[in-house]
Amino acid sequence: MYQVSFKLKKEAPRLEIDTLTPDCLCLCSAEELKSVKIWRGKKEVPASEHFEVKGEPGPTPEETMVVIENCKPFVHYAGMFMSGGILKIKGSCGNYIGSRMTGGLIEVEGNVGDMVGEEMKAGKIVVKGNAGNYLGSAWWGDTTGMTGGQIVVEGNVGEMCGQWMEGGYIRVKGNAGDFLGVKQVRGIILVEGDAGYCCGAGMTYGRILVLGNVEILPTYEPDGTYEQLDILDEIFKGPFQLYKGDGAEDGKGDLYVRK
Amino acid sequence: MMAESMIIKGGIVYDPLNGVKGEKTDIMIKDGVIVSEVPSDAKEVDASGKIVAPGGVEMHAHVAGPKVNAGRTLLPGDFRRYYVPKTDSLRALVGYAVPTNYTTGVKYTELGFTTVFEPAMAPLDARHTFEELEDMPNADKAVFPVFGNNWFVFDCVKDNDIEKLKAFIAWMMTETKGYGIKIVNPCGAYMWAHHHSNVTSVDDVVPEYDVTPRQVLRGLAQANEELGLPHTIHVHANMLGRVGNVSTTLDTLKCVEDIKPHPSREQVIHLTHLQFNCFGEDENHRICSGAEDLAEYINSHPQVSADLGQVIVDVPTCTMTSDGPAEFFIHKALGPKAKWINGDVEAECGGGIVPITYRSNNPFNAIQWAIGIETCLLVKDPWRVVITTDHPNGGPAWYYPRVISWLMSKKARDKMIETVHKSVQDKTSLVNLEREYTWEEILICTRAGPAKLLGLKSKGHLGEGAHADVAIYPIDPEKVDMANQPEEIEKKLWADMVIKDGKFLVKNGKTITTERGRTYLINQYYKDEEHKRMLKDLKEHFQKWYSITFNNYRIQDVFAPRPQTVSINPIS
Amino acid sequence: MVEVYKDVVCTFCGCLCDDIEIHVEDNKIVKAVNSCAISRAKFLGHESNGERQVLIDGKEASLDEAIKKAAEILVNAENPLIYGLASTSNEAIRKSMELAEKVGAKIDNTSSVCHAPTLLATQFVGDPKCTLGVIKNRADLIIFWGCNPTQAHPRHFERYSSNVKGYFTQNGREDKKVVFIDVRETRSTSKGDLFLKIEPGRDFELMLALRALLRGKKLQKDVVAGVKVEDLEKIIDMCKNAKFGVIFFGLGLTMSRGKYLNIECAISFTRELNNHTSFLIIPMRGHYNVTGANSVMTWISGYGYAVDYSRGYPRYSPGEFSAVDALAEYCDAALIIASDPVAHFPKNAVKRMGDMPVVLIDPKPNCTSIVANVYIPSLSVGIETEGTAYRMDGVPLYTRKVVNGPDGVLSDEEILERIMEEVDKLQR
Ligand code: SF4
Ligand SMILES: [Zn+2]
Repeated sequence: MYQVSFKLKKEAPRLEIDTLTPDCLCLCSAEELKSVKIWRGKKEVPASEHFEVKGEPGPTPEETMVVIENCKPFVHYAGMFMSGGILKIKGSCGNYIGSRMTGGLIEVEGNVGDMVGEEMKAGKIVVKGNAGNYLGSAWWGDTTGMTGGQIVVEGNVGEMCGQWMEGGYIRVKGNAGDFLGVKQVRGIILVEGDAGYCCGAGMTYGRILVLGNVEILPTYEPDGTYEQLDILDEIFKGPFQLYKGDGAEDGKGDLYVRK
Repeated sequence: MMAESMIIKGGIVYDPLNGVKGEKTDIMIKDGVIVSEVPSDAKEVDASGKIVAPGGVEMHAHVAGPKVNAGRTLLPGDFRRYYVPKTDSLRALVGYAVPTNYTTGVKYTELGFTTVFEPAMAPLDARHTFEELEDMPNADKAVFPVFGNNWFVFDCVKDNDIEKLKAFIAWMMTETKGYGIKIVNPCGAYMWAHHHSNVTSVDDVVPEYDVTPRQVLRGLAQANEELGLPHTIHVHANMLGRVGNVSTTLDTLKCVEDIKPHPSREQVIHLTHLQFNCFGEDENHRICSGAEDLAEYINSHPQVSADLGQVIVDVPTCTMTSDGPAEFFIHKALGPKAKWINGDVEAECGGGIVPITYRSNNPFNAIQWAIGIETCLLVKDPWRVVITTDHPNGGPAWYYPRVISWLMSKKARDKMIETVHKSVQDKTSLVNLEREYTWEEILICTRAGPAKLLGLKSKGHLGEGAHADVAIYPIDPEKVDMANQPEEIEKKLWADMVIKDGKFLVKNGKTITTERGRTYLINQYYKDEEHKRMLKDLKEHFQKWYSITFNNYRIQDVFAPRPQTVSINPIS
Repeated sequence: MVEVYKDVVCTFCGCLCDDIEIHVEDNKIVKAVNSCAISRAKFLGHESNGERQVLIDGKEASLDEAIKKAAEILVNAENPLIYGLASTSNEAIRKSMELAEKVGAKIDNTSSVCHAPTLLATQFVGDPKCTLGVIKNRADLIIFWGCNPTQAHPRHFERYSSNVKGYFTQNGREDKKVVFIDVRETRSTSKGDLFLKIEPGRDFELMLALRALLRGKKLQKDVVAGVKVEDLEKIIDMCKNAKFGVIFFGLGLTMSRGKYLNIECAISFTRELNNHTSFLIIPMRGHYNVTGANSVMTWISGYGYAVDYSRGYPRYSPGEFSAVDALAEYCDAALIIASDPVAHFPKNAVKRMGDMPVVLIDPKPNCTSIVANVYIPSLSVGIETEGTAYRMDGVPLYTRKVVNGPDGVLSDEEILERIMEEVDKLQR
């Protein structure tokens, strides 16, 4: 696999790096690579003004790995519309990471901001740190969130994770904030820690699993119990109590909570 | 900047109103109007091998006002997907189905349209509508205030006081800078707002007022013809969107059969977006096309005109009407994810907005798609049928080139029929229709016809004295066989050059600058004694039922900074 | 000589009462008839004869200098922000949008700290609403949720809602049922037929429970958000049996936990009630033209607030381009129009404002003047100059001019126009 790396050397109040993806960079010559533009506020500037650029991209996105080193939270829009290849982010980064992506892998070592994996269709995002609000969610006014792919967050996630989610798999190893899986239509959300207020509110179909503590909404009805659950070929030991809801939406979603 | 003199040379000119049918002649322009002679230094514009036509006239497109803006609010994703950054000469263009006003203006111009009418304004919201129109560049414009559910109209109709109604209409036009009478689901919006129901026929009774849609339609039609407003009543009939509604539609048209048209015209009623009101009912109570019945009626009744409201499938768009119950019904039909806005307006009207995508594989939607063009092909007189998509209700107006390709080419239709649900093949007569529109007919249906129906004397033609609004399309009708190359129609009905009031707005298919259009409006009260008599009652009516004062109703002149007053000609 | 202006529009709250009678003597307002206490205080307290001084870095300066300086600040910044707008006219908002596009700024209005959740919820689910006159004529059940009209919209009851007489409610208050839902008792809550006191931050849950009950579901608890389920059932009965109901909601709902989800849920509840009877919902907006600000921004950019023009076309991202976040994180210049963020914004945002160039356009100096490098006084809309404003229900009204502003002071609209001319010169 070919590799290009961008090491942040000069800070700015806000940078938008939606152009630094395998899709945009593959086939770039060394010269072109230096002049690839990113947005700094209202100015479009060469990435090399803020990043040390090294390496050589491959002939296709799939054969290209882009590494952003020393990344900081003011760097936004990484991996937007990505369709293949690998994007590695060393450090933390900002909002809309992997937004509307259709393939490939994004790995973030640190924390990420809001709207990560927003309306993503396929591919995988792995976050080692914490994630902000609206993970895997729908964009403002859209009513279809993430439809496929996987997001794994090893830390905690913020509020409204999986809002309007229509497919795919979100796994949170830490805790989830309020309104987890609100308006969820399909797909699976697994939270290994606790979930916040109003988990599964307005859910119509789909599955949410919470291994830690969660307050059940009065609009959810208890259903059966299960000794163990099989999620994408991984066995989770129970016992689990199943709740059906959300009654407010005539929903038929499944909320499993470990007893 | 003074518009320069120019001479458009060598084009193939279509000017149906003046009997010019694709002839090679020159068009001369001076001081913003068409003339028969220009100074020798007039600029020459080479149009050889291209169609030269009057600027298009859009008679029914929802382009401005609270409803349209609410539609935008429901479709933020539409703006995220379609954008063009600003340039030195143009502001940013954003949105598609319900774009910003600026974008709407620019797109209409690029389609070769230079006049655009907003067909449904809640009078109480007039200021908002005019603010948005002001932000829509280029096109000349006008609005139709809605009357069909107005309490004061009910009062007049109930007492059969046509004189008072005439005074009220003239007053309303003047105060809200209106142009024509729009009637939307007469009595139905009232029943929705106050009884949570709808009317189902032209003879249902509004309890509090003891009036029926029939009375309202007849009263307004009679008042309109006697007042001599430039356009007939513009009617969105009862039962829109319901299976079998073509019978209600025919009843609606029959209501006014015996009303005498104003001496200036033959028509007394315009049936708008006919497609939505032309559903038949088959033996299983399912939808089928009502086009044959409706077209037959139109063919035998010269007092009727109509526009299509053609549906475009598989394109996200938004329905927006002053028909509250219909929109509620649509949102219920679309399922739990459908967004719904309702907007009742005190003592006047209602409204609703629901985003929609008509699906080609849905039997109902496919039949809707067929009904528009089917009716258009069945109606014999192109002067009385206007091409519209009821933008954005049936689909965005940016699909006019495609609609035209279906009308001009059976090949294009057949290709489309193959891709939509097969219900079209046995529930409509579309497959059997051989007719193919000619260029002349298309240009009647998109400019000469609507201009005439709207009573616009300086629009829709290229005769001496007409506004110098010219659209030039890169098509040579002698070289391209449209019936066999429908793709060409689609591509080339985006204008190559557009001139408005003698100024170039589009060159080489690209907008080079924007201008501000004029507003057609009526500014004339009815007979003094009738006006005063009406006003006495109206002030009391306001005091009682409105939430704003009478004096704050009239909209200020700043809202239409370039007015073009049209006089009315009452018959005595 | 006393001049009397009738049917003046009051530009102090979202009610936009248009029946005010203003008496003017020697260019001073001496009497305000029909005004509520807020309105009277504002009209009578209005000082038009005083001097309004243009300031640059605290020193007196000419208008021309200030306008030039403001243009320079906006052109030179990489992340400029334009903020405010809810207390000025639509005409000025339209100009602000044009300016934002020209200089590639973020632009946001004060709704982002009050009723933006209402807009967001509408974007997701829609909004069944009507004009206030419909409520006056028709409503026989009025629910006030998380709002306190007695204090914030003093004439709401008398003009539009509980106490007014209308076509179907000819006996006024007697023909109507009024319900208050709030986390605490207020001066309004005693005026209702029923008051539900709920646990703070649990509005959403309550609303969900109401929706489930409306669908005939059994709840798994006897008490939801501090309210007995029996009481909820009572409310549902009242709603279903009403001929025409309306929910008015305020900041108690938009700014508590859940924010736009609360509104989304309230709207969904309202539309589900329409399966039984007429039911509509209207936000109680505070600033007199916050509705206008949302509307104008929508027809020019597609989005009602939190818009960014840095790439030459509008982008939308609440939480990113909204003023509080932009100021706290990355903005490097701000133009504030008819608003006072320093008084209302969180500390980190205010602190950063102290470090960046700030331009303030406002009829009167306010807390933001302390950090403003350029202060340009303007005419007060609805008193010294005319302009369009939208009532909380969207009804557009044209505000009046009743006194002359000080010589040489321009309206917001004119000032913005002049700034744009300077921007054009700089960018040429
Ligand atoms: S209620 Fe509001 S608009 Fe009405 S007078 Fe009082 S402050 Fe003014
Ligand atoms: Zn229409």
